[in-house]
Amino acid sequence: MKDSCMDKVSVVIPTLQPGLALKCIESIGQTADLDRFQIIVVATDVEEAIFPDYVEVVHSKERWLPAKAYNEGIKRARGSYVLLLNDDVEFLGYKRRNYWIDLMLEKMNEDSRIGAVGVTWLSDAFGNFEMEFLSKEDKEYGFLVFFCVLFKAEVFATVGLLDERFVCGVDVDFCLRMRRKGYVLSTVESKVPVVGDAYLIGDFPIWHAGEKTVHTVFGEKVWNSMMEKDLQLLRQLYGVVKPGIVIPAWGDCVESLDKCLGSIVDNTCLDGIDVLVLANGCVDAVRQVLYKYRGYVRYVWYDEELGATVAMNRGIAEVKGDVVIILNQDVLILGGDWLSMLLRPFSDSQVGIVGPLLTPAIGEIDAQNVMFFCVAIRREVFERIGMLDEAFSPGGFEDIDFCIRAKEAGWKLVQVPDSTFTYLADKGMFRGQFPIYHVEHHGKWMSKEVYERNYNYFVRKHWKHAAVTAYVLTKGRYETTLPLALMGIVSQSLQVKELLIIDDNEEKLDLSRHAVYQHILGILTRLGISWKVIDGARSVVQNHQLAIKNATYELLWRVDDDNFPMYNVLENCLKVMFARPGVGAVGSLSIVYDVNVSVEDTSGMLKDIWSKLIPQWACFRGVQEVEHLHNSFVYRRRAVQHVLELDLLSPVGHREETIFTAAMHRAGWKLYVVGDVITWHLRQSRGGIRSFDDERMWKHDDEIFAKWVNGGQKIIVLDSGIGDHIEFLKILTLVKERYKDCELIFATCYPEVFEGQGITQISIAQAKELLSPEEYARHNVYRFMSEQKWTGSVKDAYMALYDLGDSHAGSNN
Amino acid sequence: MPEVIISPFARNGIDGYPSAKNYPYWRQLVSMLRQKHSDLYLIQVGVEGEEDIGCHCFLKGLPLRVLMVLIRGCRTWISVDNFFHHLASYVGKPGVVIFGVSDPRIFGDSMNVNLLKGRGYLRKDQFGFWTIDYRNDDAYLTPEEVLNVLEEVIYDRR
Repeated sequence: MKDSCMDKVSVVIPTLQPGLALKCIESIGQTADLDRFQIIVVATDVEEAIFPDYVEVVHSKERWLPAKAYNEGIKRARGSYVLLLNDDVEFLGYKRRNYWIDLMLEKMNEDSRIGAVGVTWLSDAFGNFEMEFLSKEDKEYGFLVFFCVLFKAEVFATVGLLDERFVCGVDVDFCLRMRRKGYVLSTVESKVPVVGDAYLIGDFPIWHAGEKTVHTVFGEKVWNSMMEKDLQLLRQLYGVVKPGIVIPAWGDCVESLDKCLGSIVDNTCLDGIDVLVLANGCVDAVRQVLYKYRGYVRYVWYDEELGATVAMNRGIAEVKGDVVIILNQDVLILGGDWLSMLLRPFSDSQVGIVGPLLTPAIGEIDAQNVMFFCVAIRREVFERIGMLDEAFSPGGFEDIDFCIRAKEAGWKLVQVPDSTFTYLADKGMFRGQFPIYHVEHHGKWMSKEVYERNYNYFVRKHWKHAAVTAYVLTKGRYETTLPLALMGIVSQSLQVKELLIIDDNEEKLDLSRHAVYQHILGILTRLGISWKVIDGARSVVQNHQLAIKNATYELLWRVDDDNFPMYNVLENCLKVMFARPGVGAVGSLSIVYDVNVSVEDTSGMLKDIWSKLIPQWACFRGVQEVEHLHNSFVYRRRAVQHVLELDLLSPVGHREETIFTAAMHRAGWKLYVVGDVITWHLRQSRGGIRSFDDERMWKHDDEIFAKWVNGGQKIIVLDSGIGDHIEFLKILTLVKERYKDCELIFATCYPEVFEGQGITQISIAQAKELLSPEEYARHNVYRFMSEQKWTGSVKDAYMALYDLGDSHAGSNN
Repeated sequence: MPEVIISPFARNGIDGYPSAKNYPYWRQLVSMLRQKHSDLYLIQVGVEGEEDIGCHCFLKGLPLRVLMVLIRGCRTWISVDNFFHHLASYVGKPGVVIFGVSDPRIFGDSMNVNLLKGRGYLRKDQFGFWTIDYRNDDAYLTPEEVLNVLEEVIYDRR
């Protein structure tokens, strides 16, 4: 017997609000002949569901999510067609009766391959989320929005029911499954103008409240969260790249690993994702944690500690997935979108590495590298450039090394999201826009020794050229020590990018034609070090200024023409330069090979300059802070804006390097001598500054120097209001008395206040160039008053700040 | 004709709004002063863009050295907590300063009459910027109260 529903359209309407469904059903009756339909309402999460007799009701007091509700209706559908309909839809009567259903059926019958006809296509975006993980073909296939879609009943027999793991992504999933079974989708062609917060579907007489309804039922936040989870599942089922997760674990990580895995399970749809814990050297109790997460996580157990680098490599080799995600055992995943955020950039086939945190700069080395406490790496990158370098084992710097190698091979690195990540160094944790929390628990291998060793290895491996301009001032030493000085520069373990030779000889030698120099210059060229010979200015000070002016780079290495730096001088000086804040200059030892100086006979303090040698003369180990340097050293251009004051010196520039560096120190920059690394000082009786034989020049410079050591310049910064300037004016006499041995320089905002007071004035901008940031900040009287909880007058605060007698009465500290 | 200089406004805050240190009742004060003491010549000093509070004249953008000459020659002066009272005390001419939210113990000079309604109105952090958030019109004395003090200074009754 033929079922009376056979030629009918079975309408399936899931609802949590029977009143809404009733309006929907009434609109069907008002616009079409009811006898053409089998109407099935699936009412869940309601006490009772009363509908007209012609409606078949499936009722549950439990709430069913849409896919299950649809499926229960589909199972009861007996028509040749099944119309899946949201309960917040109403058909409108502005076309002829049966218009809408006839139109859908006509469309369905246009092509036998058509399996479903909808009203509108899903836009490219899935809610607010992009589906960039899909292949081009899948995207072009298109997706129908399941608020009103007519299916051939056979489709469900062929494709199966809706996947109940989905909430919001069920339509995308089902369309993709239809595609894989050879069906074609179609729509009644209509535009979708938005009216208010609902949809009126153009020519097609339908009204759909859309997201307004789901937001009312679920709450927008919950709905969006469900969308995120569905997106993850879609990505896993249909994504072009499939992720696999590796978590190296070691030691007593019971608590941290438990939290880590728990947070991953809570925030990730792990269907089809291989999650691998590489347990190495873990305490036995870790097995219980791994047992707890069985079904989600598999593991490989090593009794011995492998070290992070080796463990990661073994995990990468073992885990399945096109993209390998490495997570530290001490991270916590805080949100459901973490995986999407990490994987999204891989839609660009040139992207190789994605992570939330970039490494800090290491010297001049490119800082745009991803830290591996949380990183996603395309497997193809490993296939092209190899695994992590196990020379870094047990760990440290292998991530930066890998990123650099990947970039050199042409892969792109991407930070997600593209906003700045916060690094709270004092608490040792990372937080930011990416939903992750990381408390650093380095293994016991991360000792100072390992760090140093790996740092050195890393620097040797990558730091071939430093952004440094080396320069040599030369006079009268063509045939003696100049070639040695140049070869010393050429032979560095870390090479400079530029070399300037400031030739101050009156009779110039064409270096490119000289038998020795043509080789040196040839080597420079071969090594990729650009070089230039510049005519000197017959004055040591001006020659240095020439070098600074012509140098391309911010860091300069001055090498005297009677110095021979050993191979490791530059590398070690730069390490000190970058390892500490506010360093202005770093020098190596400067040893005269036939002179032995005891460390006890040296002092780095300027006040001892008349009685002791600077520590550069003696062999010692470690790093020593000093107040001035001599001979050769590396320095920052920013720290020597004061070179103008050297104009006071004669052309011989006697004591020039002491003033040059001590002025840096006075401006707040730190100076260091690195022990252990040697620049040989090949003292010459002729050439260099000894080419100047006018004794008066030497005497003049000594007098200038003596005065400078006792005083020099005193810069006072008044970066404040005019009233504060006037308060300072009131104590000017005291200031002048206090600094009577110095040239007073005021950096002011209101220079007119000090006009006619015999004070050299400079701008605030100039002061910022002259002083280190720390020194500049020390002049801020408001900061001072705030720190001191000051209750006295501003004038007294200035007096205390500049040490002008007993003026601490205002301090509450 | 005795001159009284009025410097009514502090520099705008970094937020671009008028300083929280400004006195809210200048117009009333000047009006009362002019009605009651027609023998006085009131000079407002300030910069371009500031409100004219109704003095006999408004001198804008004077160089410091000119201001100092002007201060030396005036009977007295009155200002808010701005640069002017620092300059006047540097010149050695006492005057009246209307404080409200800033602390005269820190920013005032004992040579002057520093008017403060109450220390309870002082801003807790005295060393930050005086943005509009710290404005509190209740922190200031009334024009009548200020006028009484100013009269005492002008006519040397203190």
